[in-house]
Amino acid sequence: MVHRRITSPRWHAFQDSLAACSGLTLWVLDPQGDVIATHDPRGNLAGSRREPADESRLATYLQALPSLAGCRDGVQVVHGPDGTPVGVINLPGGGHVALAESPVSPFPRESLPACRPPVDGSDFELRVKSIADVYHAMLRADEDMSETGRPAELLTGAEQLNQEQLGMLLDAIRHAALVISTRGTLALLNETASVLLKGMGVHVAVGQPFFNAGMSGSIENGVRLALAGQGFEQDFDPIPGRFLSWTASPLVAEGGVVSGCLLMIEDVTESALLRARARDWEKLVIAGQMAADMAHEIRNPLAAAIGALQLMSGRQAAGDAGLLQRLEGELQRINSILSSYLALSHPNGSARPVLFDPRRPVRDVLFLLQSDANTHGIELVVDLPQGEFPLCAGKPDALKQVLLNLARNSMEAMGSKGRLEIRLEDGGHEIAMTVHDTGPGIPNDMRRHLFQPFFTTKPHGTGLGLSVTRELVRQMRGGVELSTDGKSWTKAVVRLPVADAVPQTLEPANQQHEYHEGPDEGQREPGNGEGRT
Amino acid sequence: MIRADVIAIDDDPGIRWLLQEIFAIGGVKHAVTGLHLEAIELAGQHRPALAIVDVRLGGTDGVEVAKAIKRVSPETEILFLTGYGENVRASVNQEELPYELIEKPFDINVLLGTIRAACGRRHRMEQPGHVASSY
Repeated sequence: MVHRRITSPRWHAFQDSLAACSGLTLWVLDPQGDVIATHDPRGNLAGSRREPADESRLATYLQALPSLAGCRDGVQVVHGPDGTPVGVINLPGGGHVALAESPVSPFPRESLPACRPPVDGSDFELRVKSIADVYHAMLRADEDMSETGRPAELLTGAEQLNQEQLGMLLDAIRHAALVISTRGTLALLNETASVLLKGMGVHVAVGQPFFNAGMSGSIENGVRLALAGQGFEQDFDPIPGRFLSWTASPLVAEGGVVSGCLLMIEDVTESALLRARARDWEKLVIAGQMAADMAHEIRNPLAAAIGALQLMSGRQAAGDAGLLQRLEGELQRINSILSSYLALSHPNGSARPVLFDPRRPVRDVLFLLQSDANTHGIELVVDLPQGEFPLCAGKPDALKQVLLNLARNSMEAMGSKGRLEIRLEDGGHEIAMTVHDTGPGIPNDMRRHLFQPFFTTKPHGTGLGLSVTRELVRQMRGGVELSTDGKSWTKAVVRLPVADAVPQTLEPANQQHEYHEGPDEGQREPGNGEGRT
Repeated sequence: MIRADVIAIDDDPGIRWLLQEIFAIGGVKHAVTGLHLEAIELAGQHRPALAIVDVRLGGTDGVEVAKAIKRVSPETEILFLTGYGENVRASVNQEELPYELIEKPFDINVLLGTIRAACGRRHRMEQPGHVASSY
């Protein structure tokens, strides 16, 4: 493969405007249907198996481009081996221009429409990268013609182009593509662009002014800069709910005259959300690691202190026994807090999921919550249904953690008075755990950050509670929703699928054993206890 | 040299202190160290009934020490004393390295019980006329 940079000024200008474009792959094929050159995103022109094009042949090709505008053979769509649609235009001078959204290999040459014999039999080689590129080349060539006496105002090329043909080509592009003339009017747009504009509330048709039609200010500025020839602007422009990556490139003629602006817009919302989630996850992993390190470090002195207390209680008079017991109880509580943080260091969980009655973990944490509620002077109302209740699949400890996080958030939000309601409901195919408080609600501008790790409004908060909560609930294939009126209440609803709705890979027989946490459980694991042989 | 029934390795001075106190209460002949190499040396010298080994995050250090102890003194039983019970259970194969495990913080009586059980087994092993694998 020969890679060769073509240095003709005209080609150079052409290429410069291509460099910023993303989108289609463009092939130029000779009359035999052979693909004859490549153009990579760095602007290198690559020749293929044949000799690289010489400049006179390129010039011939560039001259052939404007005749596209008058092409009457129409655009035909053929398909690559993987079904990728490829738009094909017969060049009147012989050969084809073909465009597709992604590289197609092998090129479906056998499906190419028949074409007329070449004008000069040349097999020049070229491959460029976007429909907009072709369009630009057309504009360039039109301008050349205007120099030779033919009237060729910039937009004439577009207007001359069979709109249906161009539409088909443009619509094959995944990105929104728009061309804005130096007069500031919209010269061209594809289907993706018109959908996007509609979505953005921008109402502008071809031939109408592009500016002040409701397009975001930063994009308008980018287009203005491009039209002023100041390179191109590329930015990431979030509009409500969507993330757009866009590129405004000047279409520069020879001698540096700007003839228009090519605006390519890509909706990257999905990938932006994925990236954001990956970042959140990374933070969680780091936090979990820190928690694990810390927990181990603290457990040593804790173990020594608890041991010392046990020793002391054996030696002290009975009168002090109560105090010592209390002290030991508090140290054990520190340990259980550490354990809950340690649980976070295994966000994927090392313990196997089990089937469990969701009421049990809720009951288990009630006494903790009750003591917190008493401390805060908060009324705690709990509604657990009696009788039959569906089982959930997952880790009961995770549900405990979830409830603790939500309830403690609520209590901290309420401060020194209020009412906290915890309710568990059987919703048929799912169970719903509701934590409702009478706190001050959550201000609007904070709602979107609530689940981000390390986002906190508390002076000493870790900002981990809700992000961990969401992760734990997700692992049980459930969801958590927060709703608030922003002033007098906040409600968190955790929904978990009931076990019947979950593929049965779990062993209900293990439920009792794995779930129950006696005080000595840690020391009596099967396989390392008294039963060892 | 008085032969130690139990050796303990933990790099935390608080835990070493506590273990020594517990050994004293239980009248357990012991040797305690914070250094891995010294622990292996002690195991070779004393051939103790039980080695109490601290396992830290990641678990490899303590587990490797335990394996080395087993090599120099195969009859010594291993007790991991750790804040990372989950990790140890997940990463150490009982077949390859039989062990018991007590999580920190621990109950003194549980630890003493484990020590006495190990010493008792060794005592029976060393009785004249002992038949192997009687326990």
